Amino acid sequence: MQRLTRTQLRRVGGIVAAIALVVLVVTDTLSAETQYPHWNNDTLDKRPYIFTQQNNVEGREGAPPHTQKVRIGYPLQVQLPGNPAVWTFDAGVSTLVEPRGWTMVFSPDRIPGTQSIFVFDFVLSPDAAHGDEGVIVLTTSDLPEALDMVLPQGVFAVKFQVIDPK
Amino acid sequence: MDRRTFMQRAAAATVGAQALGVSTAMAQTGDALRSLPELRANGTHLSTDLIIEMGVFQVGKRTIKVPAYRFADMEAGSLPGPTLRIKPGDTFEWNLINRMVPNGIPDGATKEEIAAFNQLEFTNVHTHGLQVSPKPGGDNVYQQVGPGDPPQPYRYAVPGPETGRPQPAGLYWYHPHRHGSTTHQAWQGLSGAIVVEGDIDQVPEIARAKERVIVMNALLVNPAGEVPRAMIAPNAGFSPFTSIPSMPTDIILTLNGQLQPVIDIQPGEVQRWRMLAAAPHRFYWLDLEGHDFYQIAQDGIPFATPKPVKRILMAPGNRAEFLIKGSQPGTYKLRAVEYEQGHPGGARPGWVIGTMEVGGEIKSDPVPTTLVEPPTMPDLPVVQKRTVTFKGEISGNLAKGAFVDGSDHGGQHGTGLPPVQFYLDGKVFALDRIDQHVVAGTVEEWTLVNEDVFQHPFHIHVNPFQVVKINGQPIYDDTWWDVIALPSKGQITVRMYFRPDVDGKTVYHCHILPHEDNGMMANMLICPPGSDPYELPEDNQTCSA
Ligand SMILES: [Cu+2]
Repeated sequence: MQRLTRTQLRRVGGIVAAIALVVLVVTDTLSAETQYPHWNNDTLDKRPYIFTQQNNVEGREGAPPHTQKVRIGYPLQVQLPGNPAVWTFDAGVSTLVEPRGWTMVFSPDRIPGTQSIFVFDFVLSPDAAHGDEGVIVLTTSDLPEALDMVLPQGVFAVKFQVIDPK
Repeated sequence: MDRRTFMQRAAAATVGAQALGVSTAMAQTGDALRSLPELRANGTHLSTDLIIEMGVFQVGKRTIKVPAYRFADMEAGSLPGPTLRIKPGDTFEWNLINRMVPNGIPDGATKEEIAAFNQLEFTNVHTHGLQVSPKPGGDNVYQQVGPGDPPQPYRYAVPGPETGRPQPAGLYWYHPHRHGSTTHQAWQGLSGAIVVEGDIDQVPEIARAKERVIVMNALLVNPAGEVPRAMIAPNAGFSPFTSIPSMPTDIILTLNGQLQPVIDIQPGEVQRWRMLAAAPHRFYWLDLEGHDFYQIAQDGIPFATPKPVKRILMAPGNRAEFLIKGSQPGTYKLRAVEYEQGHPGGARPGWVIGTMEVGGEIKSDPVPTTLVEPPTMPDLPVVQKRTVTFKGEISGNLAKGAFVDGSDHGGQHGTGLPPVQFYLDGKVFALDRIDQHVVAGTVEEWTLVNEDVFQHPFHIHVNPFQVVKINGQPIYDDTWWDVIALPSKGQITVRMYFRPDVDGKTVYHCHILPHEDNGMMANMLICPPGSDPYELPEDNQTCSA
């Protein structure tokens, strides 16, 4: 998987702008303080691989490419600071994952210029097999200044390779 | 990871398991709360080894693979560590022996990436709350012991009555304090209780009460039951931290290494619980359904009278000791109530951490009305007022070196952007920089300013303190603390007496250990009595006469 080209980024930006309007309407009906369901503490349920802006290397100066290993069968989750910035999933560029919904969690005063954390859930595509490579890409057209180094140009990307340890 | 690497690692893991004394303790949900192993001083001196070895522990349905403490006389490690019982005036010594073996390694990590985290197996030990010398050979947090290093001796003289300020009888604890690896090792459960026995134990109603030492841990584990050996970043949701590279994590809140144990009590029976918040990050807002807590001590220091309270807030490092009186027969939940401590994504969720079962013969144990004479603040002038400012950065957007002395905090994947940075007075921790010079035998007031929404818990070594102001408003409360949670975007002023018989270099820091490891710690030199408090050198390592 190569770095996203400028053209791709611009294209993504356009899609984001279009989707953002729709998303904002939906967001209005959500409670600002989304509650997490209480998880069973005594379980072997598979918890997600969680990625935050700190996991991103896309577009960062001097950062060597990094491919995350993902064990087959585990869910994935991306959490990105936003609100008012809106993050959207780029289905056109992302590969080997399927979105499973998203929400916003109220998180004021933690990171300047953001009021919430966007939480996106994913699963691996059903045909994902050992050795396959994929990428999850999310973008925003309204990146807060406080994230300009860690998420350059408003793009989050995590490249991954599926592993099946059995 | 390719097949060869995987097989090599699997083989290494098997050999490791055989070569190490593997200990197994079963702990199913709903089991009776167990007592931890104990060691008591015979006479006035105690000597042992404090050995860290890899262990395998059953916690509910999970198998946890973590290093664990044991004393020399124990055959296997304990999760959490064994309890030490001492008295004011005792001396004790232990040799710290480190036999940690790396685990929790991310899939596909290269040799270089694995080596980059070797510091996570370096350790030392701190006796939290003991008013003992912090100098080399004593409670020295600057010491570090790597795996396989020679045993490192630590020796402590617990202040006795002859000092005029004996160590108050109560609950203290020990845990690793090696800057950079304290969080990792706390998530592995490395912690143990120190009970100082003394006057409060002679209060008749307390003397006859059943005593329970309860250590609360939070274990951050991957699906293999190992703590991620990687950089850590905070996230919203149930498990509060993820790793870089990411691996699925879960957070397990245990009492004495057990998941949701059951605590028995008879109707009308009074029990004495000593609770230790040893988790590196989670605040516990304790609530026991249908029961009040009759608190008798905070951070090891007793009260004059029991204080009945509905809930007790315990920040990381705090201890609360209280009496519980069994009510009507039935089952009552012990909860860590949902609490907003400033973490990204809002309040930490509420948890049921255990249950209390009231049953059996009815008793009518009394709760005492008076306890003991607590230590008092000496009537001395406040010689210095200082301000310490707490500020953290969790966006991952600030370059390495953006703060003073930030150079030891590298960025992930060579980006030069550390995941988080935390600082006191605009600086991250530096080993050789003395941030404050104080004088033993004097009283000072420190105003602790929190610029964050994160409720940083302030902790200082050797001497406890009292809170005199919150947000500038006077508070009249004679409770002594050694950890106090700062209000979000607020401030607390504490008054401290630096006991005259202890000097040396030591630290103050945030007791959210991921903050401490990422810079929120500073050095303080306690100068000997008689040093000139107004002519202290600013940039060197000494005190002026
Ligand atoms: Cu903190």
